[in-house]
Amino acid sequence: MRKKCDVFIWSVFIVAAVQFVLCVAVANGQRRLGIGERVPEFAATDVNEQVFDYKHGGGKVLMVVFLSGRQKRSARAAVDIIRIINNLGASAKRLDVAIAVDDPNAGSIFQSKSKESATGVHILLDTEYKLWGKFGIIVIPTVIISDTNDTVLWVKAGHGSDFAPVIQARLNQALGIAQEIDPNDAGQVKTVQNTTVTARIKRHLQMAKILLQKGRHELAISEIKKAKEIDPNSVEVMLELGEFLCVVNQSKEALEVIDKIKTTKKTEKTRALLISGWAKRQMGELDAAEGFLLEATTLDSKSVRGFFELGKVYQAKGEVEKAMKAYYSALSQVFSEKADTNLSHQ
Amino acid sequence: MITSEKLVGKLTVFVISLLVSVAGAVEKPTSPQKTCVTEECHSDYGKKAYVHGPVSLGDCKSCHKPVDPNEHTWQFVRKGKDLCEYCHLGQTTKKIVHGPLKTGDCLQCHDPHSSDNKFLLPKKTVSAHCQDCHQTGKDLKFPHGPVAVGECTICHDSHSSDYESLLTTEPGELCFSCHVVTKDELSKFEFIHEPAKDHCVGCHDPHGADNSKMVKDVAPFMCYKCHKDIEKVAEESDYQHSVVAEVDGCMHCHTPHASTVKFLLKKDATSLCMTCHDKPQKISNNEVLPAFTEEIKGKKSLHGPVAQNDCSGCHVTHGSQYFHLLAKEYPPIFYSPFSEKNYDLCFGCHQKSLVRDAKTVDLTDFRNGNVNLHYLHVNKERRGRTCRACHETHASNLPKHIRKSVPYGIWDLPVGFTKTETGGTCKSGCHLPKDYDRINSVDYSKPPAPVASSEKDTPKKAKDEEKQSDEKKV
Repeated sequence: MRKKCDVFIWSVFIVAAVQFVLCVAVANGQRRLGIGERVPEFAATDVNEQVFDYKHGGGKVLMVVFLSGRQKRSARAAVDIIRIINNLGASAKRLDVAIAVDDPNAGSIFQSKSKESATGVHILLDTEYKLWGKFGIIVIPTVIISDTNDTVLWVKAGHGSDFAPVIQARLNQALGIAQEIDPNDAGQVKTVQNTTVTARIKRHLQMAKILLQKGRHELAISEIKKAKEIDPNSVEVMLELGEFLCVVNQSKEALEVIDKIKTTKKTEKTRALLISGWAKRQMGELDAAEGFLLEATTLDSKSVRGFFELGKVYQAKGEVEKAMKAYYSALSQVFSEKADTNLSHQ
Repeated sequence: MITSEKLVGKLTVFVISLLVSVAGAVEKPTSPQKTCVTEECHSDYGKKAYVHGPVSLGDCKSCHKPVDPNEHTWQFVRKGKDLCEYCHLGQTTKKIVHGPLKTGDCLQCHDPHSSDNKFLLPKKTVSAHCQDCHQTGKDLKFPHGPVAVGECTICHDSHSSDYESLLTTEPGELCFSCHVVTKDELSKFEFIHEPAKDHCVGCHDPHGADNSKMVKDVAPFMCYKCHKDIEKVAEESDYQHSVVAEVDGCMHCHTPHASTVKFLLKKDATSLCMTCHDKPQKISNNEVLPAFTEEIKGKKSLHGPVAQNDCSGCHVTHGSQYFHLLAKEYPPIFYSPFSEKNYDLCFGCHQKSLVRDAKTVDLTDFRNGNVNLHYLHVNKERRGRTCRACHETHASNLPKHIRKSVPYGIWDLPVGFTKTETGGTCKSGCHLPKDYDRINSVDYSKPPAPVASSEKDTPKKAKDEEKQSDEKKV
């Protein structure tokens, strides 16, 4: 009971403190509207002479944008904003957008842009800077975004390179749209890094696959070896190399490659088992091959090559029925049919 | 002179040689044979690594028919490309057909009988063979992977294709068939360089180049091929950004493929600018820009664009007609008469009404009641103050990035600005100490209270100083 009472007293104190800060801000004539403050209620006439009346408690997100028809950056900001709103899709219905402009000509410019928008955008004329005063604006462009509780969530001034990603992220946040990026990091710049080790390795592996398809086996293997030079510890590269060596019947080399791998993932282990089984089958060590391949097909019941190799092992051992079942499993995977037999469980 | 013994000896050698050669030769058959590839005849055809199907079956009649068996003369069973196409269907069905195939000259690229190379090619690698006609990719410093391994057919179809240059697939997709990571990454970016979407060859030579990354030319020349407007600005502006003209200069700030921000910037604007402007930069023989990082280090009040990492709020990056690469007009000297035109830069973001309206409660907090003190400062017949007279351009320790002092001759006169909850005070060297208050405006209609004798001279002194200060240049 005592604890509840304490919580209540603290809550009252915090609310009172916030109110005090807000009241002081208003009382001392400061114009600036800060994050966490209440968005002021306002009404203004739009360019179609309709009144846009913003009242608290509407449950919608509000974005107020201050632009000027005389400024190139405003025009670019408007284009960004329209694109962002259109990206919101159906969520845009929970958003009110008010663009405040200071001259009637600008109103018509932005109105034509806003027609491209999927949601209603209100172009408000603020020739006497009343909205400027209410929101504490000193520069254009400035964007203010509120959450659904009429509280200022974000204020963005200027039109820097991070304008679009930051506005997008803050609107997503306000509207409760899931996003991969933390809104606080939205301004951080990322670029395509196609020279990373991964990217370079992938290029060589892709080329190796194409060369293999063309029957250029030696070249294919040399491409994988280039990938290996880039990252000698890459398990993916070693597995590819092992598989390619099996394709060209270099089973001993394939086994040497596989022996050096330390697999950590299930998929890696499965491929390593498959390659070991495949190589052992080529070397005529049929029992060992059978063991590896059964394990591989247990871990991956969709391994076409695994079942095919298993079929070959049984065929070589003269176990015709098992061989046919294994081949059937392989073919079922190729033609996406459910196999009746699951050899891995036999 | 030749003796008779010598002549006999020579004739003997000739006759013996003739007999030996006739004994070693095989008689050409004079009647149709089951096959031509035997130990005695045409044996080479079957001994190479890759043998044409009919040859390996000994079925020479698939391609040849006798004209006169007695004379051992033969002709092809079909004419032109029909000979090969009779079996090799569909090689010429696509829109663009390789030149030799059009004319039925398949033998230009393939040995019809056998070869030590795959596809019965006459040379070990495809490219070695292609180079007989196509000189692309030869002796390049940075060859494309497939060119380096001599496998032209990774990108080109050797017979026919529905795509330009006999490409194996849609040109926009072809590069991504190997560059999968790039494709995957690009799909996550909003701002993608136009050529990177589907025209990699706009910048890269697909065979290779003498420039790193196989680009057709180095930046900025490569970039200028499309970005003519930037070239004009960079090369013709009164004030040029030196980095733009450097080789690969564009790459200091821009990434060539995609970025999360506009203009394909590599980093946020401030970080980019600070790669150079974190240290003093000599911009002419007479002027060294101070290190920007030192200017803002530890400062409490940053100008908006500085705070927002947006140097481009005031500066243009490639070249400008205004000093310090400013975007618009701004006086290069400290003491200049105020005019809106002179401060076009500031009024790019701040409303002109800020200095036009004598009274306001909406435009600024710098007011005494509703008297706009910006208006009051700048709109004077003589000695109107300018934006930079009171505000530092980048940062200061005073609120609203107000200057700590103003230059005056060899002195720096302190501005002495302090802020209060509802206004502030300015104890500057420009005028008598003055307060302002937004709620309870200070009444300046009454004459000022008497001051101590030491302070009596101040107004006159200040006026004199103002007069002199107009002439001072920084």
